[in-house]
Amino acid sequence: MKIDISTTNILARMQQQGSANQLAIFRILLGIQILYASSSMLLDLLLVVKGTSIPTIFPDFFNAFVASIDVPYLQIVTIALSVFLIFGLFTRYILPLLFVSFLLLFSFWYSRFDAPVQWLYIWFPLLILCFSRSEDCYSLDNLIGLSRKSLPSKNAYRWPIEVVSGWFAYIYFAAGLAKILPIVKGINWLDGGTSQQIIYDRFLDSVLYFIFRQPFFDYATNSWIFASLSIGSLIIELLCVLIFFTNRFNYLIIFLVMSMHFFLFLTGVPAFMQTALILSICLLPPQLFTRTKT
Amino acid sequence: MKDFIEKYNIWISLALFYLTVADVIQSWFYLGENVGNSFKIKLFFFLHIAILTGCLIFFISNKNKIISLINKLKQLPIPNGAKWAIAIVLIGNLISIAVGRPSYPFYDVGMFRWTTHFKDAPKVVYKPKYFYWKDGESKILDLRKEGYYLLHEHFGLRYTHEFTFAATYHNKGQKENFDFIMQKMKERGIDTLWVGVHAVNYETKEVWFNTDLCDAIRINQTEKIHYGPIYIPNYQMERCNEN
Repeated sequence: MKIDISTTNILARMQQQGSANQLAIFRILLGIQILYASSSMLLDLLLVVKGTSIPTIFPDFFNAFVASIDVPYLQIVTIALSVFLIFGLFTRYILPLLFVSFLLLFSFWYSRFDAPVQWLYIWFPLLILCFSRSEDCYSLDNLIGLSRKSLPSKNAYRWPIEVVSGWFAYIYFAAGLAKILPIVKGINWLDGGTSQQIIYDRFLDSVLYFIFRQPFFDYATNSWIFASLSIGSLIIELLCVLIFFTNRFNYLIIFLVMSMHFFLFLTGVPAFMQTALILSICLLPPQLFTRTKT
Repeated sequence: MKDFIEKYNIWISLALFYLTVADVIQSWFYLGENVGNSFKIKLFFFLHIAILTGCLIFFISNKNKIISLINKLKQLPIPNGAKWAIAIVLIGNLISIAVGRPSYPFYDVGMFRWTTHFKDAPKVVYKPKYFYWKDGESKILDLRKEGYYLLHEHFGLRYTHEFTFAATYHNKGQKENFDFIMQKMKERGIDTLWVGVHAVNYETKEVWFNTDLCDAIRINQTEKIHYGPIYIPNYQMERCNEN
């Protein structure tokens, strides 16, 4: 199998023809995820507990201001705007507003809740949608004639999809790098101690316990199993860099990443499978979505 | 392979340069006061500096290729606003990854980056949890279970995994966290929560839940517990002291 990456790399793919349906479906799913995330009771809880502490690019006084005055309002605004996004009503105008309200709301969220960080999967794709024609399909804008009248360029529906697929690659490749950098520490990470500690500590809070009611084996020993799982997950994460060079392996990457998340889901780290699935829409070939407007 | 390297030598050297810079910066933070203490560490940094110097010399001698690469990126047929957005986010994230620290919204994706030397761990793990009595039976309030659509028993969709994580781990030692959960349970007809101890013995695969109020107080204080002790309400302390 020979792959010519000069024609399959992400920059080349961004110039190819895409699918308006694919972009619209991604817009709708992202909107649903934003609605779900910003409706979380976590925001109510964070208003009364101390939470964790983590730096943001916003100054402390600004975060304090958002926390003390604006969170309930920002939450309502973000929820309302996400509904507009899902239905594709006034899409061009609400997207920048939604981006700002989402960024501020989750700045407060992150300043008191350091992990898991689902906003990472959302904020940049949302920014990219601001510059795209995601309302050309499956939208009220299209139905009532509010979508743009100008003809879309050849790659109008493809480049946002490819940029988001690059974001998917960044998330997982950077996660892999974080585990092995600096190299002096990375070698220790591969012994699986981190994975073993998490699974050992969280067993009684995991789906595996809720379903099977007992551990499968002695999680306090058998380190080789955890070392194998850690090396496997690292390989999967680093493999995602291939997305930048070719889309030939996208199905394999989706399968491997989802398998990894499903395993984590079972062992007590459930939060990323849903968001990863939504971004995976952008890894699928546009031809799968092309019944109309391509 | 040779053709590939020749064709993409600029990209390869840029990646090598960046990863080497990231490794130097993060090693500096990681080693802390030990930097420069041993020959191995000195050799490590010398090698990195040699790679960086080599890359810089390559960049200078191929500056035309770099300029043409930048021009190629500038000419991408996408909106200018998007180009600026991508450039700013790319730079922010590259800095974040290089220093190995997040600064919202830029992120190094280092959620599980720490290393743990898992050795000689006890076979029994204790986990204090809230529970209540219903029809003479103890019922564990498994907060983490409440985040799963198909498994939850008390709460609804809005009680996401993030909520259950914060309530189960980050904030479990705080009275405010307990009050919040208690309030939600009262709305569902449960007016008293106690703390019991859920435990697993990994050697025997036995799992049990101990509802003894005084044992829970003792274990909560004396055993090593993931994310620290849970908040125990005063009425449980008083009930234990009465006995």
